[in-house]
Amino acid sequence: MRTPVYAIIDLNTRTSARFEIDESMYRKYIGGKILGARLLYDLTPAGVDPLGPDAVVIINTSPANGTGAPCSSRFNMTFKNVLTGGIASSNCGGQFGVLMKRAGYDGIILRGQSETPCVISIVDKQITFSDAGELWGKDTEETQNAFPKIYGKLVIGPAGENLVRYAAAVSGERVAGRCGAGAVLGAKKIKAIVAYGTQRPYVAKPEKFAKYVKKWVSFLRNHPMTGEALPNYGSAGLVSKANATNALPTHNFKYGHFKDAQAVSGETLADKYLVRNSSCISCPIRCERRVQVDGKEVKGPEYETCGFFGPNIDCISMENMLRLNYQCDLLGMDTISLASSIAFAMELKENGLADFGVSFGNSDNLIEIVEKIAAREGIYGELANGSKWLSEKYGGKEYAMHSKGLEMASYEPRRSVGMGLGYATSNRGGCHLNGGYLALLESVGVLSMDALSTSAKPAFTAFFQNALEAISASGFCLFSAQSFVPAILFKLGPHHKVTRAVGKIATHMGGGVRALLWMLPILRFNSLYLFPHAEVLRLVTGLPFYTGSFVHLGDRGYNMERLYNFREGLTGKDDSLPDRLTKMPQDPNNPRTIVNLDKMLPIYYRIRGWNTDGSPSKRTLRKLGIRV
Amino acid sequence: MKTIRYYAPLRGIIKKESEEIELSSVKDVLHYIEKTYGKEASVCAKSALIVVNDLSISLLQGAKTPLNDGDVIGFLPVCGGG
Ligand code: SF4
Repeated sequence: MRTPVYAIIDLNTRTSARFEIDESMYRKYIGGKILGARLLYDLTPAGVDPLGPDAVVIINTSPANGTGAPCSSRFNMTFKNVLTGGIASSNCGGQFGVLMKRAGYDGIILRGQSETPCVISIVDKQITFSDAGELWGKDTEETQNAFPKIYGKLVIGPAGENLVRYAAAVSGERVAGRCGAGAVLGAKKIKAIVAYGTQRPYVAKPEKFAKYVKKWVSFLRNHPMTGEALPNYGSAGLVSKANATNALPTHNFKYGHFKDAQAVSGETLADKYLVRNSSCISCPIRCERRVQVDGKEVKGPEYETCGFFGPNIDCISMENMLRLNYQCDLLGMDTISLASSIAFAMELKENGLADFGVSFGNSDNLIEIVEKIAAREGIYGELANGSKWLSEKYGGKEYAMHSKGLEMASYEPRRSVGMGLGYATSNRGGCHLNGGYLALLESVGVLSMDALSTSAKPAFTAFFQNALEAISASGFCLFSAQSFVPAILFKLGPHHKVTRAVGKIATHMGGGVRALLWMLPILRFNSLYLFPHAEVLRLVTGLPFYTGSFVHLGDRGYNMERLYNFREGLTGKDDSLPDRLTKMPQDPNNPRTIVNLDKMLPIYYRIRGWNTDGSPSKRTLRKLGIRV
Repeated sequence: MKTIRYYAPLRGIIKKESEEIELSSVKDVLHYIEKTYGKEASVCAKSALIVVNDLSISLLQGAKTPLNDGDVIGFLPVCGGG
């Protein structure tokens, strides 16, 4: 076994110290966002300002990163969430993580604040600092081009420098987008961190690992989801699926269906704009879109961007969207929080509460406005604070579409009520992935549980939140988990009686999933068809990871994040959604089209072993081996 | 008149992006595809996400969903993920 090596980097003194993570800590928390949550809890006192000198930023990898396992290039950033004040973890598929690991560090911990803008270089275990000089003020592309091609880079753009609350950190063309990852680096005056090295990652059982990886790659390539849908349409393929089930946020989540949505769908993107597809390192799925913007080949938009710069602001210009997507990457901004804040500003204008010069149906002036937001120019500086802040100043809280302060992703939860529960309970705020992503089983996948039924949703939400937590913390892209729906169902299609029957059964399987959660300690098997990630983690670390202990690891991570939130003042009261979703039915003729949180939350807390205020009980913490 | 829109993979088999038809339900359209383009196209059409005016037929009346003048019936690829 090999324990992870980290460096503490002090920006005040521009010094660094190398240390190893304690073995018992490693066994329990492994890496990525789970170890990140533990370290953040331990290393910071309560109540620090996320953009102040006492804040800590952890950038770390996971055991599987860089090993060549499928979709294993994702690295993690953990910090105090700029938008919510709770935990933040932001995940990125750029090369930086793999190169940092090759340079000899599984993670770095940033503390203090540099006096002047700086660059940190991590090359073959040596950590050095230099002044950012003229790089400060440059966009993310120019900044990255200033370093050798072979380096892994993690940089910020003008938005991060200007502390836009949803600024992103960018690596290659991939972003750690959510929660203000770019702002926390900007606050420390870090323009770029670059890494290079040649150290090989540790694999405990290399031969078995190589064989298993081969099998898994072939499985992913042959599965309709990971072998056809994602490579052909990318995540943008979801636009038409969500629209077909009234789950596509439209007009700032007022509606769930947009009649011209096909113009900004993955199918249209593939037909008219796609140059080719591409991928993060060592990924057989290759979901990345390559498109042309002004004659230059760049990364195309994800589903969220299509939805939010499309139907959610009543727009259908794919050209504007491609340009906005590229521009956000250059400026270093999260498209979800940015576009959702803009949609909120549009509704404020519609209701006569504020005028930021943006209105529904017009994306032509957004290029200019987005630039001003990144620069925090004049009143646009207010848009840079996100929709929660705006609603506190101008009103409209009932349609400010965030949870805990983080803007929700592009799934209308009144047609995926389990996703609604996920948004409300997600530790980092309105995130579909941290929320368990039940939309895939309710409204946008081949299999459809009853999207309006609350009955099994608390159990499914808890289970998938834990599973996705473990997958992410092990270093894998979550798309690699989308092959768990049996291939046969894709062959039969969503309208076939067998597929419909499976969906119906799942709708009433809450008890079964609860039993599964109880049985985790005895689920000592691994399967290619369920979570192959567990087997890879076992072979890479040499630790006894099986399906049960793997999901249990996710449970531990979820509770650790929750403890951090409680310490920072976020409680069960913050497990909430705007009134638009909980009190106003999407279909006025169908009262079921709301998210009934009052009904689901107490059950969800019980299933998780939490107290009625949403805090983890002592018994649960003991069961999970968490000491605070 | 109603319009059928074909998307991949069905488009690859039928070799058409769209066509105009005069049929009165989704079921009729499925029969039409089988009769005109053969078994492979029929299997592919049945496994697609079938939408009428961009709404899944699961939210309408399934295969019995009636078609009115001006309606657009689409056969979309099933999966996606985000
Ligand atoms: S599936 Fe897409 S996002 Fe995930 S690792 Fe592969 S290319 Fe990157």
